[in-house]
Amino acid sequence: MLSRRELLTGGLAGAGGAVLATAPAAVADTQVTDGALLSYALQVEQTAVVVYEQVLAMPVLGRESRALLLEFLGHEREHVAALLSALQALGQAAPAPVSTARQARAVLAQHGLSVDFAKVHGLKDAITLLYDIEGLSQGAYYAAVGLLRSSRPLASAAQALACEAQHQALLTALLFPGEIKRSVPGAFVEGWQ
Amino acid sequence: VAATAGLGAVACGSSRPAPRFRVKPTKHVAAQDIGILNRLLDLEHEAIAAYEAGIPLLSESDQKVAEQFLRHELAHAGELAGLVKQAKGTPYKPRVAYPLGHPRTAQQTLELLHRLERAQIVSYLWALPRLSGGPVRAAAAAMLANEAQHIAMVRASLGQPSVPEAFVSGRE
Repeated sequence: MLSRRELLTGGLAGAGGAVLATAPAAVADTQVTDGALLSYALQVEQTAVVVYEQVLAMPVLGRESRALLLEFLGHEREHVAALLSALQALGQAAPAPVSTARQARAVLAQHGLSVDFAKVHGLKDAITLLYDIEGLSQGAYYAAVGLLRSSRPLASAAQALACEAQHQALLTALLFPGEIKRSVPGAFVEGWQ
Repeated sequence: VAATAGLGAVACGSSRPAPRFRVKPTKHVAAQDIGILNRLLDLEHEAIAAYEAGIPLLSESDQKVAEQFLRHELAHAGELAGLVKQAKGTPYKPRVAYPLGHPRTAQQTLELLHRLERAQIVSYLWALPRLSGGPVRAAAAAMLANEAQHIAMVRASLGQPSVPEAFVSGRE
């Protein structure tokens, strides 16, 4: 997979007034709980929903790309619902929801992404933003598959990871039709955090 | 890879923050995983055979796609063989022949590739909860996700919806 840095050119550091939060320290796997893994994935997925909604509200999409993004938004909402159910099954309370653009920006800032939705001016900007969030979702599910102790949410996490990988490939193909080395660059899809 | 987008909305710091959760690299692979990994390897060998045989039948644009996917399948086979060896097992070698049928057209070839990619997805999903170690599971999931990308592109070439479901099952 292309890294975010490989896909992006530089932008305006700190644009949009998003607060660059300090990244949480990595958690050793002996300390990781299933609830923490699923809560993290949920937070990223809820952010993805907000980002898709923001992008879909922008006048930058053609008919084909809008239809595709609407479909992908539906998938992200299904992932959110599944993660909420999985947390409930664990007896774990869901974390505070990410439901506004401001909250989504704060989550993205924790991953080194400073976002100003008002500065998304074209399809490239929009797709690149979505490419980033798909990579984050993949990273959350990849960690879940590798670290979950309980088997019940494992299959869903792997299936959602696979779906996010498909999203990312199709999004990239929108920008670079016919360039398969860009849309499906690598044999191992792990995303990033 | 060349940078692609003059993006004013997203900015990066000088380095990506450390990941919150780390899946440690595989050091130990359990002997009980050998059979599962070899089963996956056997399917990878079959897919490799199908791509190698089918590429000449495809359109020029689909040939480029299939050549890229063949490289991925070869990488998966190498990864799986390596994991089997780490478990002190013997990786399956490619069979002399596979029951690939007799595709004669691009459409038939794409349908064959679609069938084999589906079979791989189903097998990876079957394997995941049975594999004993988290890092081995993660490696399998990373390959599963790549197979899912393959099938999405193959489906697009077949004129089918590329991403029909929110949870990839290989049965869609």
